Amino acid sequence: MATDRAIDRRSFVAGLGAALGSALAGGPARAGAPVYVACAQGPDGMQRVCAFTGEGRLLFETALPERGHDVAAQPGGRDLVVFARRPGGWMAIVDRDTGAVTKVVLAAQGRHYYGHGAFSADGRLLWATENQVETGAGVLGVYDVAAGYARIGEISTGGIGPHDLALLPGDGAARLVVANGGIRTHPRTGREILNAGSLAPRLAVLRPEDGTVEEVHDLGSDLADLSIRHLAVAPDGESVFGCQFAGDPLAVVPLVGARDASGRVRLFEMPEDDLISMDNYVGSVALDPSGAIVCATSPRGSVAAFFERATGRYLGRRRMSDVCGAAPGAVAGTFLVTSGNDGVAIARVPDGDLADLGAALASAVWDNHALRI
Amino acid sequence: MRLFAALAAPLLAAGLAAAAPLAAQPLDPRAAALRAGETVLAPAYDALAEATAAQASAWEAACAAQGPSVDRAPLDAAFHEAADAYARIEPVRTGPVAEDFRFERLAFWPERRNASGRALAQLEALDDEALLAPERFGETSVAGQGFTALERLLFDADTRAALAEGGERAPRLCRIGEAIAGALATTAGEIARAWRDETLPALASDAGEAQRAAARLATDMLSGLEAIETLKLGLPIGADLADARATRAEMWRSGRSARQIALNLEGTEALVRALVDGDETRAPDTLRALAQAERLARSAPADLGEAAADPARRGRVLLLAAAVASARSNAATELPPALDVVTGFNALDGD
Repeated sequence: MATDRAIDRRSFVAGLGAALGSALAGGPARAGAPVYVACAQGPDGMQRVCAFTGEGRLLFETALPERGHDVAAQPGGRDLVVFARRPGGWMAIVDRDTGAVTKVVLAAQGRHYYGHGAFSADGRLLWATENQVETGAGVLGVYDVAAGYARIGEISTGGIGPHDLALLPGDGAARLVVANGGIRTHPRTGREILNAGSLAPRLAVLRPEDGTVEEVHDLGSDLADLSIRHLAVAPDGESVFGCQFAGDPLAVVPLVGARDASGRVRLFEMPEDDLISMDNYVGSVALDPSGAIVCATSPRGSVAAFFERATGRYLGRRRMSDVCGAAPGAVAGTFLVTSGNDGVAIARVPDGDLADLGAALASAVWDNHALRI
Repeated sequence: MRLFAALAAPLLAAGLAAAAPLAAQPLDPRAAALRAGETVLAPAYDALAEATAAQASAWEAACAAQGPSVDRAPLDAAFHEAADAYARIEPVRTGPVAEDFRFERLAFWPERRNASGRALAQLEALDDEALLAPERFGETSVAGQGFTALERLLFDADTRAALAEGGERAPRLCRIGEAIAGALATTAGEIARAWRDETLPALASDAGEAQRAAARLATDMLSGLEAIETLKLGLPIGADLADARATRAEMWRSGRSARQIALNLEGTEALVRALVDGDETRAPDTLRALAQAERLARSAPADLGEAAADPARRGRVLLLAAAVASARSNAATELPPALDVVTGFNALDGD
């Protein structure tokens, strides 16, 4: 897997095809119809970032030189930012309508990306989770969009191994919630966990304008090996988080929780059989369009689990092989879910099976995340 | 890229003219999936359905028999037959076994927090036996519904003796066994029927479905080999000798730990052979490594867990783990290109 090789601009561009296939011939999405962006590996073995509609129609496919991970969408703008899978050396700025790569930003010296980023509400700043390689400290790289995504600074994430991050709603100074996974890695040893047995996962709230770390939460010593990885923020300011347990494989621990707007943290409970079927691993979390329902996927367990956010009540699970990506569906109570070997489907909660979105999306190996834009 | 290939082709062709014949035509993954389904998977599920039906009958007879104590001999024999059939098909997680959480109903291992033990205790403590009826039993914890629970009931020293002694506990324990055996037969029967009635026809008529099935079967085999290495062997082996835990081995009470692994490997090998249509040259290292691992598993000590914790015998178990790891790594390299599929990576590769 990834070593310390640098991707220089020329080789990146060489690895980047023009738009693959003639998907654009189908025209843009219907106005109001949901559009999704996700990374995938095609039947030809090539990595790409794809946009498709909530009805299963492909809009564009753009080649990437390596696996992409998550994507951030610029509010009020045309940019999508695709991050390389961790430990990542690049982020690609892609036009949301055409799929054309408009810019490539390489990781700063002594830094690598962790696969996730978030824009400010006005779309002028981008924050990306990064590793300060020498010390292992987590930082957010700060990028000025108008200056061509120039890196203008960095701030501490209040932990190590920051993975996902999200903007919290609200007026006034921007605040970010960051999932510090607590796992120390080094590009030389790839994704190997260097601090096994002494992970330090932390959920942090930051004010990026002055770098203040406002809050840091840990889940207690019993859950010290529970790496907090992924986030979904609701309109009322609650951040749902999904985790991956790196401790004893026979342990059974909660994997989904939330921090509400007042800073209170709770963990969601599931019946034991169902929790065991998640295999101690949540791949991503999402909220439905109403924000009332949570979806947490487990690619290891091939299961998507659902909760009522307000009460934490468990609503059941659906089986889907290698399911990982999850995003809000078109209407309340629905989610889009993607799989590495079972295509893309719409899940309707609490009743109803998964509805496959069809052949156009079925042959790709969908990667860990999906974003509704 | 395409231009280069176009230029290179005539040069390559000329160069190869005097050399070995060109590689065989690539396999069609859709035909491979159908062939595997017809020749290996559906028959294996038929065999499981048959063996679990026989086991259910054995429990019915044992519980209905006159006399207080339960004759365990036919139950033991039926268990071994049924568990053998299960082990051969266990690596497959795709198809009808993936629906309705049937995989978990068949077996619920590794045991976390003593889930099966607790489920059995709850069943034994039930005030009302209505939940043991076939139409209700599915409502109970899956940890108490399958082979993991049945093995525990039949071979755990405590419940085994209680069955044999014919005391107060025997009738209830027998009815629990009957319920589990009945549930296993029902689930296995559903899977076998679904393969014949739905899955095989779908594989034969829907090319997309067959293509996806080939990818999922390849993924299943890799996951299955990983599970053998990291769980079935890894859990008893532990990080080191001090960390070894004999009772973490699968089915240690019935002495089947090594046998389950050997049959998992046998089933995997049969599936690989069917997928490559008997042509060993398509996955030579995989088949060689699988055969080697099988040999080691068949000759491994029956008390595999104890051996892992025993300094004098641990080496043999480590050797088996290494052989399985080798089979997995060869399969990961050879199978996807041999079958012209890409295996899903979310589960295998992580975030």
